[in-house]
Amino acid sequence: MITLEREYRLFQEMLPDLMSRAAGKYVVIHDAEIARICDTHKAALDWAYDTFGLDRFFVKEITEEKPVMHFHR
Amino acid sequence: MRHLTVDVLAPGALIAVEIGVGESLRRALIREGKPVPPAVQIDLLIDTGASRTSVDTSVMRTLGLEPRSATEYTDFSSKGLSKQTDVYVVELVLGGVGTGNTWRHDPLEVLTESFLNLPHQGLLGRDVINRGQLSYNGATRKCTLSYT
Repeated sequence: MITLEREYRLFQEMLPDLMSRAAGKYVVIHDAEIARICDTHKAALDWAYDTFGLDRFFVKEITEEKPVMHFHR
Repeated sequence: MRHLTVDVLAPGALIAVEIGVGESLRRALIREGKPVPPAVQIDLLIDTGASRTSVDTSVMRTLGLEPRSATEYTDFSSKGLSKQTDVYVVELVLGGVGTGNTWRHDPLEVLTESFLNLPHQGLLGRDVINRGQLSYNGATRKCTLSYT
C-alpha cells in the first residue's frame, strides 16, 4: 500500500478536470484538497515546503501518465 | 560536452552517484532548525529499460525522506499488471560534487524498490539518461554518458 493513497486517489478523481485546465503543470494536494497549481515541479515543492513545512503533502505533474516500466534482474 | 565512462562488468554498467535531499526540503529543514542528512553514495545500474530512476527503499530511510507522490509501475514480477508505489523527491548528482563533471538533477522524482542482495542500489532510468547521450562500446565494454 502506498503512503499517500488518499491524495493519489483524489488526484486520479480530479485528473479529467485538471487536464482540461492545467495540463503539464504541477498540483499540490494537502489535507484532501487541491492547495495550489504551479508551472514547474520546483515551484510546487518550494511553495509546499514554504506553506506546509515538513507536514504531509502530495505533488504531481498533471498528465495522463503511462505506468512506469522497470526491467531488471 | 562532459563525459562519464564506466566499465560494463558482469552486473552491467554501474555508475556511482550521490543522492541527497533536494534544495526545497533542505531549506525547509534549516528553517525548522533540523539537521540536513548528508548525501549517500550508491551505485546505480544504467538501465535503458527503466523509464524512471529507482532507488532501494533503505536509502530513503537513511535520508529521512517522506514520499511526496505516487505512481503506477510494472516490472517482471507484476505479470503485466501495474502496481502503485511511493515516489520520493531527491537531489541526484553524477560525476561527483565540486568536480568539472558534476551533473546535478534536482528536483528528481525516484521510485523505491528492494535491491537487496544486488550489486547496485537502484536503476538509472531514462528520465535521467534522456537528458544526455548514452553510448556503448562493445569492443572495450565501456559505457559513456555525455551531457552538457
